Amino acid sequence: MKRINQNIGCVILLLGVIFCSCNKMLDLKPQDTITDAAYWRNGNDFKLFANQYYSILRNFNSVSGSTSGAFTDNPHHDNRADMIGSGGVFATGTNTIPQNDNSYTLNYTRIRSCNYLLQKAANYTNQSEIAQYVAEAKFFRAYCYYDLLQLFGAVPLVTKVLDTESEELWAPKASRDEVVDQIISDLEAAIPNLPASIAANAGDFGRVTRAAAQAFLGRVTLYEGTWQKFRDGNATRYNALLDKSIAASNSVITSNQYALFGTAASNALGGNSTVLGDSAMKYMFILENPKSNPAGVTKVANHEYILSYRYDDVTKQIGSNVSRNAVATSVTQKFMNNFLSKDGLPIEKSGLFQGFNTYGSQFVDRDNRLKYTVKVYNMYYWYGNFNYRINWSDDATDRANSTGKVSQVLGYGNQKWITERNCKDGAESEDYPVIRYAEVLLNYAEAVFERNGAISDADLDKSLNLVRLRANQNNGMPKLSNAFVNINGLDMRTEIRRERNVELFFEYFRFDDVKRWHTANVDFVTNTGGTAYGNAAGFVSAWPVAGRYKGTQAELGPNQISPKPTNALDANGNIIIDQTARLWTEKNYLYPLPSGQINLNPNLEQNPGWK
Amino acid sequence: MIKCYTVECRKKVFLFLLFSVLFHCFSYAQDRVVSGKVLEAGTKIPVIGAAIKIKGTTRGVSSDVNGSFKIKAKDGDVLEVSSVGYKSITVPVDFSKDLVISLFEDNKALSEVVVVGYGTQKRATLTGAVATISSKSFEDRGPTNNPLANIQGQAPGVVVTRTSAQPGRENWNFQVRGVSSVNNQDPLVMVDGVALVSNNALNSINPADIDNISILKDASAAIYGARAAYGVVLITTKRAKGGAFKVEYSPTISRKLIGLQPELINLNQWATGLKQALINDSYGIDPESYLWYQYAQFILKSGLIGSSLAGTDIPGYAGTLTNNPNLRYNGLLVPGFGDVKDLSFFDTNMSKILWGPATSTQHDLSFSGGSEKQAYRVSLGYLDDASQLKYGANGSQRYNIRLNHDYKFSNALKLATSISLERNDVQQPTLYGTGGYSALSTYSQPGIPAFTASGKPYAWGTVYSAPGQLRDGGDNLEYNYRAFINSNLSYNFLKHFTFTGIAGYNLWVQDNRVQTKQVQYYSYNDQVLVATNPLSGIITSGANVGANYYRQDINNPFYNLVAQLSYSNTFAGKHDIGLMVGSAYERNEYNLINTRTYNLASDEIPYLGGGLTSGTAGFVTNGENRYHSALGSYFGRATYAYKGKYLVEAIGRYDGSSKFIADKRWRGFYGAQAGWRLSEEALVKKLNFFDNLKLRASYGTTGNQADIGLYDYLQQLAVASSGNMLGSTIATQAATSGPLVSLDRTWETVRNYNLGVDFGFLKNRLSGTFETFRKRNSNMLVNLAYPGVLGATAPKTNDGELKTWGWEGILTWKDHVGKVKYSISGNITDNQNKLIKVSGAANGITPGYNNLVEGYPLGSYFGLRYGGRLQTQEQVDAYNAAYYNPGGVINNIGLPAATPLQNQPGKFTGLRPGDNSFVDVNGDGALSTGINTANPGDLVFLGTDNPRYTFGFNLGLQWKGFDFYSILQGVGKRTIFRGGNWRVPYLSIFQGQTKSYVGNVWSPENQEAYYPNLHSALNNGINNYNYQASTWSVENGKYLRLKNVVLGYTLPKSLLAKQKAISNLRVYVSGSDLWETTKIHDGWDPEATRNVGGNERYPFYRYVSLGANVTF
Repeated sequence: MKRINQNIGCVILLLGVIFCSCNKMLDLKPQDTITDAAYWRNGNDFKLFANQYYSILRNFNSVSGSTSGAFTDNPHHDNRADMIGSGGVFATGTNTIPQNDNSYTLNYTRIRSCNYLLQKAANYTNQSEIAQYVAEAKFFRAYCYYDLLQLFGAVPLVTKVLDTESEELWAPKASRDEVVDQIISDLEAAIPNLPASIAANAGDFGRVTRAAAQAFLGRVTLYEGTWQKFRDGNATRYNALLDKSIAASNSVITSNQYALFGTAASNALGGNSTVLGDSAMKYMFILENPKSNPAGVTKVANHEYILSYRYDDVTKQIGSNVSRNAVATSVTQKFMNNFLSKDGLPIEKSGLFQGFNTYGSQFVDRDNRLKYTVKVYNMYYWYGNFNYRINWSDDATDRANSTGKVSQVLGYGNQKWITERNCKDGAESEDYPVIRYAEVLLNYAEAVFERNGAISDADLDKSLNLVRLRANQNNGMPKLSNAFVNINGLDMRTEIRRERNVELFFEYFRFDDVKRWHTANVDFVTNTGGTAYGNAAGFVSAWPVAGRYKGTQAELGPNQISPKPTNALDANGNIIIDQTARLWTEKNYLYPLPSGQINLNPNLEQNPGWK
Repeated sequence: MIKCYTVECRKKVFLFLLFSVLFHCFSYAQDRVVSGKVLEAGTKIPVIGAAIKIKGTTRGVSSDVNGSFKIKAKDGDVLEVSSVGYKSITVPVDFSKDLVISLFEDNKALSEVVVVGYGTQKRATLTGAVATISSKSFEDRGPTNNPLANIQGQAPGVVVTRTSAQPGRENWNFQVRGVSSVNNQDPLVMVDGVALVSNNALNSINPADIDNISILKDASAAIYGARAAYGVVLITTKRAKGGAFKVEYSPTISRKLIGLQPELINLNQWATGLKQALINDSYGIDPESYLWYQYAQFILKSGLIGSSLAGTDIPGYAGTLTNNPNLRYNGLLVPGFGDVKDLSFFDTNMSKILWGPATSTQHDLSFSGGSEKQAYRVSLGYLDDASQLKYGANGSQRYNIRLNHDYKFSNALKLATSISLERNDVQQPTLYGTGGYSALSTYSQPGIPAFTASGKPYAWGTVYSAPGQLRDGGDNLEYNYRAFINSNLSYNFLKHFTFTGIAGYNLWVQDNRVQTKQVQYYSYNDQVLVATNPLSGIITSGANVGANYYRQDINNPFYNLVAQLSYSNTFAGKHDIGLMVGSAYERNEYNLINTRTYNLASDEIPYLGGGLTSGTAGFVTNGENRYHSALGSYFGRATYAYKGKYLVEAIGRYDGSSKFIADKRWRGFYGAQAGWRLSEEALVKKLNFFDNLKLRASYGTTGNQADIGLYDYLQQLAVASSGNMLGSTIATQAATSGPLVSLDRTWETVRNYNLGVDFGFLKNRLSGTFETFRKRNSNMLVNLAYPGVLGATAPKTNDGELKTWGWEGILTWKDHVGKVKYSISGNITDNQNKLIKVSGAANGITPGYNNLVEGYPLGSYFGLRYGGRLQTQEQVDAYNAAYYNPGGVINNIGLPAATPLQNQPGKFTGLRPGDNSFVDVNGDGALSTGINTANPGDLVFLGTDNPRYTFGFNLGLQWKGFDFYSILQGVGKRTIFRGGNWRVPYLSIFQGQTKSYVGNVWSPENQEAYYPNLHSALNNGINNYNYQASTWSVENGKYLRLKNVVLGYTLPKSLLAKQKAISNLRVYVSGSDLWETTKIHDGWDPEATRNVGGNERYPFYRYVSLGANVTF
């Protein structure tokens, strides 16, 4: 019996060993990731966390959560406005309420990551060690809310990390003013803690600087100030916003940290960009470290980009078809007509304008920016992986290789963002300007004008004229001045706005500008203009091939190669691209909130007019 | 003590001794020979190899080929006669005559020992729903790469499906009684008591080593608690029973023949169809200026079929074929494909070029034997599974060695050890799925040759020859090594008490080596290098990732410890009591490392570090993945039977998982089962009708923890490259990873209900089982949708609910006609499910496949109701008028506008006679696809992708040495809406089109044709409209298939008797999947998946095998 008891004892002991060890042996920790509890120990932890925010910046592959690649349709795209063709349902006004909208949800995902750092920072002892990264979190939170503001207007305001139990999930929208005030307060809190400057070769180059936050503040306050002003808002509020905008832009100007590329001021900050002369503006957008311009100027010479999404020929190529997609961008006649003649007058007033008779005639004696933004007929360009500039000398070899010259022009071709060097698809590496100095200068001029109803010549010289004359230093183009406006019967506001249209083309400002100016009912519902079909200019196929002819393919006949458009012609023989049918009502100034979100949170009110 | 001093006495002693000796002699003399014959009762067929033993001794003989035996015995001895498959009987010796011993067939169903969780039970007293599969299912089936292949149609309640036919990657899936959750659906598989980490391990197990499989379908699975929600499969491997040394060898050779896949049209048919479609699209006018029309014309009229026309042979050619009216050949306009260098018109059929028959072999060799103390079985297996894909490295091999050893230390202490070493290699061409015209995607149109005149890869513009890509693009070699080591110690330390300890260790090691080479493609005459793909050696991301060498190693050990204590006893001869308690711990450790080198110096011997710029950032990439998980358990079972009539059983399990936070980690599962053997009741016995009748009922809970993260209760941060350039480098970032932390979730619990009846009539000739079940998962782990302001994905929480129900049955008839024995068996399985709750929000539905929709089964199809074909222009006009723009709202079903054509007066765009119409189901006057279940528009439920009414019929015949066996298997109901563009003729012009439409397209003369009016990519609006998901466009997935047929012949013993080596020899011929009937229109196999994407494109094959079973 004793033996038996021993046996039983042994068995129970054995079972017991397994029993006891079980619970402890079920506590397993991740092996290839860090847990939050083991993080947030030093300043570098905060820095690494903040590094993710730089993906939020607008870049060649993603704008506002649209990730389909460079220059494809996105919520801010110029093609939804009137300067570029083919905006799909957004250009016809027939867009409907989507079930889901990544622009909405992705911004909140990004806002969460900002809130996450701010929450962790609140419990961190050495605040000065992490002040810069806290400021970055605030800057990027403001950046995301500004995107939401532009797209949807008032939205729910979330400034802390939520979980599935949070009541904020079911909260209604904050007011538009609350959203704007949140953006402003985040930026103002961030500004003092951001570095005044970061040297171009420093390890932190590319991070948000004080000027970047100030410039952004200038952008936001101009946006909201004019939005309110043109919608009969509270004058006290919009004037205060415009004052803030003027002050913010002015601090960037007076900081002397940035200058327009291709100017003496830029050379003074390092690098020689004036060597490119007038064409500096053209080459800035395709500025790479491998030779990408006749003078071999590299990115070190660029002091115009205040905040950019950065690429590199070796470590970070863009990876999507930039040049190839930009080549396919069709420019409207309306955009062409925005460019002044070199006497500073609009084409309808200028004696220098050569008319629409030929493609090339339109480029004669114009603002140089036209020939640097739109392809010039009978010139040689990069096209695909095989045709490219070799030495930019325009000699016989160079020309022989860059056979992009087209004898039959297929409409107006965009030139911005298209490299001229030998570059495989996706291997471009120019930076994407999120904020550049020229915009700050134009923001300043506009804010001053809208605040005061007038702008002094001194203010114009300190801002807008710098931008205008960068590419027109030698062709005798006059400055914009009050006297010039008065003598020629021009309108100062129109000229200031024209400057934005011309300078910031294809940088996704036009659509949002028109919205804040509240002029879409005029600007968008027009004939955007095609080219003259079949006339002496050599247009064999009117712009745009796949664009907005009237009728369907079936109507146009089976000829796919050169279908005959049935559109009417205007007095100049140009095809009328009829935008007058575009549906644009007050509701279109804001995008509809995605219906899926309203289903989930019935307290979320749809934007007015969208049902 | 006898004192014997007298002579008399001494005499007596002498006599006694003498007598003793004599008696001794006599007693030997008394052993006489008994002879007899063992026959099967009824058929009178001799039973070969029956064991005849003198009871109480170890002496025994076996019956010969005629059933005859001779054994020495003495008066009063009793013979014990036994043979596998028969009931053992005892017969008293009788020297007076030749004994004729009739053996009755064993009622296997009742005496069979069934493996259940942590133990065995007799079939007769089993109360759970347990399906069993014997080793018979794995015999004679030709080379078998996965045992699941042979289970198809064999066990009621078990639905086996396959997704591919690629050797080594057939992706056999199986479901026990339908779905139990929206999460992972893999049943838990245990081999000899140790769980498999992944059911992929079944790819390397040798089916010839399987003795039997038990599938626990109901509450009986509850003893495996946490992972038993999808059923539990218990595989038991073959063990020697001891006895004489025996060698068994089974070689098989098989020919794989290509089964069903879409047949492609030839060049002439392609051009003719294309031309017709284009003319239709152009409203009856020949679209002369359209490139593809020109091409079709060129094919039909140039007379070049069977040859290639080099660009340089065309007058006026200047490097490219441009759209130039002057570029003519024999007066025909040369179509201006800017990127092509020549025009080829070979009557090629890419599916025939790529796929073809192949030969596979399998060899199984086993040695077994033993003594009183031990028994061993050593088995070796080799499978060479050849591929139907004809280019590049292809195929799969399996190497197995297994030792199953049983050792008896004493009658009380026994050790059973199993060691299995397995290797499974898979080869495939690296680029087999790369690009738009690869072997696994759309095939190029007819006309394009695989290779150039000199055998180089051919390209036609950007259409790269798939065979060239397969042959020259590098190989993907995968080596899997698995070791299963498992010791089972049982100690009967006290009467009625047994302790069992199991220690198991499984190791999976994978070595994957993938080389991607650049392929250069040429024009047909080899003169022009058309393209190089992948483009270069330095592109490290994106679609055109350059030439590189990649290596990945996985090391995945798994440990399992089980201790259990059992007690069984019978009281008063009628109370059978069994108790078992135990505990278990198992732990899985996963390690993966991978690395890739770009820009290799040599393509011939690729190795890591062999890159021209090795070590340079961007040219070498590394990765690591490590995780672990553990499960701790206590379990127990109590059984009670009264007189073998009233059976009850209780099961409990308490599981703890490392996947959940500590205070939600542990959960109990339990089951209760009861059975009533009516056939043991006197009343029923009196009827003398039922041989067996048992009612069973069970209820139990099982759990699931699949498809959730391993550490989701901890907020993790992923440190990785941000992709953002700060300074001069790409900055590293830290970011929160995964969904939100879940602090309150726990196991899914599935409640299982089962009712069953087992019966046998007519001397058990007719037997069967019928069962009905119900499952409810009411705390299913699902992702509820939260407002986007949350800014993160919500964790899966226990908020979902799913209901599953169904029934299954099996009926077997066994009898003989004269000397022909036969058996017929049929089984059928059906189950349905309904998703009660999954999202917490309105459920979106889209036309076509919808995985999760509340109120509907998983994998439901929705679509429009087909309203018939529009036959006349009047019908078209009326339909357009009613539905194009009703009430000013344009329809959203893609019904095109009917606007007058300016250049063809009197004609309209949009539909025309021969196109489909659909029905306004909800009667709102408009045709619309809704957005969710609350607002479905005109969408109707079309059925589910899950097969219903899956069935199998087995027929077996035996006559003399011949045996015949066949399996018919099928599905009674399944809906398929195929993805991809093969099902729509000319939806994509430049690809091979399937033949199914030829001659079956609507025309005014052929109004009843299955296919609508032919349209091309030029008018895909109408194509997409016609072929959208509807009651017309879905395929009927039911089928009946001859799964297997075997004819075998066992050589008579008399032939073998002359030699000593071979004791048994059987040869057979077998065929798999030889015939089927199906309703599928697009040519795919009815078993194929709904998308037939990726390696699902491997055509299913038919197998013809020749094999033998030899015993030495």
